[in-house]
Amino acid sequence: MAYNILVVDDSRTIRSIIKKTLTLTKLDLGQVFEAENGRQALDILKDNWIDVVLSDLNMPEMSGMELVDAMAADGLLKDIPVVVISTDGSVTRINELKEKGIREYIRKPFTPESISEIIERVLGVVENEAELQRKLE
Amino acid sequence: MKQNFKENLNKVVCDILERTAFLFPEPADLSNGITFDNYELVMATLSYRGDKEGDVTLIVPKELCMELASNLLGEDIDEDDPGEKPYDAVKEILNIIAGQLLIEIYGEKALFTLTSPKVRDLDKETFFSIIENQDYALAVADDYPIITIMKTREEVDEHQSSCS
Repeated sequence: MAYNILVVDDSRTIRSIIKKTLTLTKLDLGQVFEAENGRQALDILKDNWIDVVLSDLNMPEMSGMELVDAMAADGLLKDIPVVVISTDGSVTRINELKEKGIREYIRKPFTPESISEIIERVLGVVENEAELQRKLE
Repeated sequence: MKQNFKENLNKVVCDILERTAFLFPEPADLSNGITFDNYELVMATLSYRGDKEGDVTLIVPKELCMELASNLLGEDIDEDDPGEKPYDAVKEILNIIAGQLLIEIYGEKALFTLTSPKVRDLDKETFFSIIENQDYALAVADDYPIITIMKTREEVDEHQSSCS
């Protein structure tokens, strides 16, 4: 099964790095969509099947937090897993995001391995936590 | 600037550049004979708001921005037509550095929002005015100087009132 992934970040550089990282994972990649902010992301989500959203937090027009809220309020989008990738490392913010239902949080700078492991876990590619722990060690 | 604070700035800058752009900067001092004469300089700045307010600034040679873009993206950058990639690269590096600095200084519970980084070319006159009037941390990577400035809003206000 090929997975479609939506990358949401206002930085072209980060979108490129994440896209390149995704090609290095063992994921069966379908399409990788890109959006510059939450608003563009919602438009893409309404027109396309997306398996996982990777989103920044601080973006102009519509932030990652607002995107998470909008998805949670939409019956068709609320079950799509969201992984936040951000420079914001505050545990207060991370807890707030987890309460809103995000699946994982990755702090920049990230390694290709960290992105790969977490996406595989979110998509269920890694069978279980024990296997993930073994890989991370 | 307290020596300890300057060391912390450089520690974060060196760590982030090593982990993201495969550069290995070393803290430096102007007394080491470092010169800026041969470089066109670029200045990237962002502001942080929240539990504290202030600005973080990075000043680097344009050539280093090219190297950052190439290393971050894993591709060769056309020196004659680099487009916005070098500027985007230094903006992203600044963004990551600022996020890490805020955690190092204020701890993991503090809440901040970062503005989008702004980048511009810096003429020599403005550059020398900045380093004469502000505290900064200096590091060197591949012979390129890297200047980092972090000001909390109280310090910015104090500086502005002393100049007026």
